[in-house]
Amino acid sequence: MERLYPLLGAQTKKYLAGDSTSVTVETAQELLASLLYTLRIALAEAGRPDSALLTADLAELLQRGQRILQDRLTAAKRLWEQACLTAPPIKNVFYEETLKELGAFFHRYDLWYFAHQIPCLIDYPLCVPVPDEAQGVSCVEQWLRRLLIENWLLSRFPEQAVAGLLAGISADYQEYLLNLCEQPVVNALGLALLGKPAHMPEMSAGDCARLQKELCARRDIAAELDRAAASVSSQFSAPEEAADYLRAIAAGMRPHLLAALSAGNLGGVFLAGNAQPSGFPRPGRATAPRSGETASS
Amino acid sequence: MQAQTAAALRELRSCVPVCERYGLSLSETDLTELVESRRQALAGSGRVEFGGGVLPKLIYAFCDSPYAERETWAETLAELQEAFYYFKSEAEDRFTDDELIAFMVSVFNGRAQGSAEYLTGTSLEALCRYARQGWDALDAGDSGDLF
Repeated sequence: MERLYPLLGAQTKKYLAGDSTSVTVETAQELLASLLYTLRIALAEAGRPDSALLTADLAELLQRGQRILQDRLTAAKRLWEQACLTAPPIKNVFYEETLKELGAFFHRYDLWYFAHQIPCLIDYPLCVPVPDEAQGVSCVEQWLRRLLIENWLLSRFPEQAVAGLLAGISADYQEYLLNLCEQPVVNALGLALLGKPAHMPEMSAGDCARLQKELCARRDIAAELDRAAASVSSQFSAPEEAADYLRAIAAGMRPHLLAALSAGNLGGVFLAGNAQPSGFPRPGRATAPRSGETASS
Repeated sequence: MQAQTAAALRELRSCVPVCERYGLSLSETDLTELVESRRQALAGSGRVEFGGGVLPKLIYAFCDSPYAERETWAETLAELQEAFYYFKSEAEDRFTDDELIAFMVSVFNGRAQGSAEYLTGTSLEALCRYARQGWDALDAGDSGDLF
């Protein structure tokens, strides 16, 4: 902290631009968090550990970190543009609003003083959430990369089939806080577990019953799910990133699948074609939304 | 922290000749107490300061006040300093240092007639209320009874 103090003082002075000699404790804390985030970005890029903060030239490191953040911001904006261009034709207000908010992020983001903040609301839940510790543009970058994979995965399924599945979760899925990609992928994994083609993610009650019987006989559910993810990846000719993502979704299914198997009802995981819209989230499937600052704010 | 205290003392010492020009004085004890009261005022108002502080600005702004008195000068400065930090936070930083000090000076030399208590108890409270509500400094009809 002793080494950071002069740098924090200089940053605060620049931030205040001569208007004031003091800041609130909260603002000082945010300035410090931003400083640490930027310094760590520079260290990570150079492959150096955090302990290098004790010896490195911090002012120089800060400048380097800010340059990296500028590049990352430009790259993230490109990801956002790509996400907008590849957005699924299926409507969902949370999806659309989150994309709009992310567009505003690029105008609101302050990489000089509040680089760790995420000044936008990210309500739409991803299948595989970005870790809570991700900050600033790094978080947005990761979030958009994941969304792009989800867009790609969604584009592998026929639109009508996806819409039908989502309507099975909630009749008003367009206004509902749910992930568009999760149920089709989960069903595709279910079909892959049965050795069936995954392109049409519709399962029948008979499929669920068969899967219940077959999975009860198998010991290593995690390995089965991993194999199913590999099968879907191969059927879709998925690029490496998407294949990893499918594997992560499959791994995340395991506890729900185990619970459903012991309850003897796979309906809580896979959505069979004759299922009725419930109007409620399916048990164990809700993904926590991730909100930005303001948060920090 | 000690370095910051020493820097603040140095900066304050450089203001003593200015005070003397107006018949006001600050002893070495006064300076030390003012630096200490700054620390307390900052902590009390939830603020952090990296430079020398606002006292030199307050000294320059108030030293020519007709209500500034030699005997109570250090005490007045401590009160003004405490009020300054408190209202800076209360107004949610909507005023720059110079704007807040200019307002304090005009009320202190005007209707408060040199009473720091009146200044802090009425006018600054009202100013901060207006600031939080998005008061427009250029709108005369919106100024209420501030001036």
